[in-house]
Amino acid sequence: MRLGRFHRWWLIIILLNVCVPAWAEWEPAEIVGMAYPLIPRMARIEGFVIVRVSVGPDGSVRQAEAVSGHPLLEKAAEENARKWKFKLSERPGRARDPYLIYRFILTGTCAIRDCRTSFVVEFPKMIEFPNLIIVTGETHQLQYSRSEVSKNEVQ
Amino acid sequence: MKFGKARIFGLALLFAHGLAADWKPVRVVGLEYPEVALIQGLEGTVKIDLYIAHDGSVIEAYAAPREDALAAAAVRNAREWKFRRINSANAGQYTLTYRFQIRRGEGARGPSEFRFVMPDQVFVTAAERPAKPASAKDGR
Repeated sequence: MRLGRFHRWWLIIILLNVCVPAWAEWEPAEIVGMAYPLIPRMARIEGFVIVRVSVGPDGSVRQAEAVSGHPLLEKAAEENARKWKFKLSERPGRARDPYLIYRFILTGTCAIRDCRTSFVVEFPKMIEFPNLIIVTGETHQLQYSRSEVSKNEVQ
Repeated sequence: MKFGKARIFGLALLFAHGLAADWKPVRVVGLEYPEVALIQGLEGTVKIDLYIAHDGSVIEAYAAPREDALAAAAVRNAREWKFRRINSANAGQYTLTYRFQIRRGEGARGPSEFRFVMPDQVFVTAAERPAKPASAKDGR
């Protein structure tokens, strides 16, 4: 059968629509918060950690493995990722392993008893871009600067 | 103008579509158990009604019948969230349910814990604040 030009284009468009982008994704169903871990906070370690999660058929996390990041932060991030739960989006196909990207940020200093940490999760619009988790914390102020010490001594 | 069955059905569908504003959280902000409530031993469920703008940010949040530390913390937290619309709606409402719970008993320890269950359940738990020992009260 010969197709006219018009029909050929229609066929291509339909095929493209069928083939291209629909695959299933693991979407987070249960998010568990975390605090900035103490030791990295005191050591003033910041940075990104990328965690690859393999999800069981029921949506619980079978295994969480950090792909990159500082070892001390990796441990905390993995531990947090294990507590999450996922569900399959309503698209046909097999889902790939989801990634979680942790970003640890330190902002300023705090008194030892009164350190705040905050936890934010963002799901950007693009399908390809994974879940971004921003954990901010404050560092302990361990030493006085010299000028402060001398002031205290004078008083 | 004639209104055939199909046209009425179509209009009805459009209308229903606009009414059922579905939103999905895209920015989830964690929350710690408010210190004041922890000292007072306050716990319970707070329902927060959110009014969402066109771009998904929260215009206003209300905890209708409550005015305590928990409601205040929940409202403050809910204002920082962001949403994405799933179908075509101009602006909309969303209800978040915050459940504050204090872990009691001897084994209760550790920092405040935050858990968000899609689509709208927020759980915040914290360990019981230990009562001050008598010696500290007497002071000096």
